[in-house]
Amino acid sequence: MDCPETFQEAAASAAPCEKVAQAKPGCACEAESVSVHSPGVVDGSEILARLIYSPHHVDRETGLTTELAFSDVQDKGLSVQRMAHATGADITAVGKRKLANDHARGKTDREFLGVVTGSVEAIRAEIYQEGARSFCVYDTGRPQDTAHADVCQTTATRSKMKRARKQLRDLFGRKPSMP
Amino acid sequence: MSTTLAARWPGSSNPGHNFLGRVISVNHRYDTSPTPWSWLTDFFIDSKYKIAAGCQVSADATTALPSKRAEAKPVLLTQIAEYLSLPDDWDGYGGKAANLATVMDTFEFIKRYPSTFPTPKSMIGGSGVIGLYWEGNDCYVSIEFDGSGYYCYIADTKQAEDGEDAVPVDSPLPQCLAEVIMATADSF
Repeated sequence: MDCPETFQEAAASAAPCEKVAQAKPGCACEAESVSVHSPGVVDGSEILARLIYSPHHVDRETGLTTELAFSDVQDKGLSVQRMAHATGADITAVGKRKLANDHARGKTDREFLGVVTGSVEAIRAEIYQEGARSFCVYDTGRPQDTAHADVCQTTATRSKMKRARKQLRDLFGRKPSMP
Repeated sequence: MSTTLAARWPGSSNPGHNFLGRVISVNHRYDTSPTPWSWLTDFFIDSKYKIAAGCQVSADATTALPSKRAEAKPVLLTQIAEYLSLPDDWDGYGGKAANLATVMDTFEFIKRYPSTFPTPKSMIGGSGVIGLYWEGNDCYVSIEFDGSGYYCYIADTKQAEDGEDAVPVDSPLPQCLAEVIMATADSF
């Protein structure tokens, strides 16, 4: 099974990152495009943006992102936008579209706070104590969102994975701003 | 509710081990509460001092709390209970609400957490896990509950990293965890 097929099959599961890691360990699918909707593999020089919403992605007092705002990275994948392939207006539009959907479904307490950004090179450089990489970055473009990518965490002990997610929080910067 | 609980809790040799069972016994409040979760915080806050009396913790221990920390605890409990009633897809990324077991594990930890220690902040993840964290003075402590009866933690300073993968929620606070929590505060 090639990488696009692996991702297609994994998408149906509750934990796509785990499925992909089992089928293609060692971030093997970073080297090829995994989506027909993607503009190409994610380059190390790219910057990724994570959309941040209040109230639960941020500390209520400081407005800074929490570690658990990045917890999706361990199972379903951390949804991010590739800034090399989307303008600030495009990303803002994605954020506001998502917010409008939420408001329409009664989730009126939410607010789109903007994005936090991190470099692919730094994310890929994160390693566990044993030297294994902590995160993989894949080009999971979608029909209406071609600049979409996913960051997936590789498996280690719970506490080591938790510490790596805190590092990821710090790598992305903590104060959301409009792109 | 309070009368019933007061009769039960103080007589228990280990209230914590029976906590979940007793919560189930007050589930009838769920339907009549102003919010779906208010029975839970009412229950915990109402019964906290009765539990303390049963465990022979001095009443002075609560009255001597720094007022800010004493006030913060009910607020924290309320915030955590709110995680039960989050709507599906609360984060726009398919986020799940916390389940009752996860909230109760978190409450169990807080119940045993020394009231004079720095009050943590709460957070929730997309899978419904609940976290408590303390941050300051270049120290970071974070605990994660998933409803399994165990928690995972990291307790990091500039000099050292510590952590455990599975600590029973009803066990005493690990010493290294307590030390780094205290180190996050400006004064203790």
